[in-house]
Amino acid sequence: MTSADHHPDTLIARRVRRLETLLEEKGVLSGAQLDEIIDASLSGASPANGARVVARAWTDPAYKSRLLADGTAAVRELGFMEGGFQRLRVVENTDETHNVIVCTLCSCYPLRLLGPSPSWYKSEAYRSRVVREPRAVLAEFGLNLPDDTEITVWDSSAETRYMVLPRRPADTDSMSEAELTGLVTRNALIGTAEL
Amino acid sequence: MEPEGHAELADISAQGRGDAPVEQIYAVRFAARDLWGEGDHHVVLDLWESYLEADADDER
Repeated sequence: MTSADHHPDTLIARRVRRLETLLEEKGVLSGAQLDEIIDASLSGASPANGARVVARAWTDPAYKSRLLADGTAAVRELGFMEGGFQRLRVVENTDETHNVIVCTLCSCYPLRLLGPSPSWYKSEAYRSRVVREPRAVLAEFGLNLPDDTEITVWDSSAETRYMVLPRRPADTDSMSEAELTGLVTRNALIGTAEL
Repeated sequence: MEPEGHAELADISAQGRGDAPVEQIYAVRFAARDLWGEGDHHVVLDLWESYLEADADDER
């Protein structure tokens, strides 16, 4: 993914900055207030949250069942996405199936569980290619799946947000939930990496 | 196809209008081959009910 992929974002970024300037000039909103709002909306948004959910699911089969049946309710049990109006759906990777998430329209994903989205997730290249040739895109991320692994690409095209439940790495039986949490990466929660 | 809850139709609410109908959303699973003519994966799209039409073969 080259820097050229971000050119379409440059115009919108310029427009946003212009709007910001106008709001400040007209005294509607100060830069400090804006920073406060942005901080508040991002506070506690981190892939460490998604990692905690995953580690709980790996160590507690009943929790895993609840998570796969109703992601929104299950992450609320751990204090995440409280009051969020969007649905969360967690999709499980297995030996036979691999899941990867995308927002072909823009950059939707469960921010509070995954943290701010990486720039490649918002790039036109990722959004257009992963639905068309996921195997090739995943290989570019260094993830070479066996030919017989079935791939499902989940497009966040409405109000549901998706998170991948990665496979638990081998030889981790003796690890504590906290240690397991440390193994989970943001890309594994998106589906562009395994653990 | 699986139901995914109800939400305001974004085509209208995104225009800032307050009269967006609330519709059922479905997660619809497509074979890549049906979408692109090639590929062995699946793509799941979340689609509002009014995006869908009845399959003529099912109307019996």
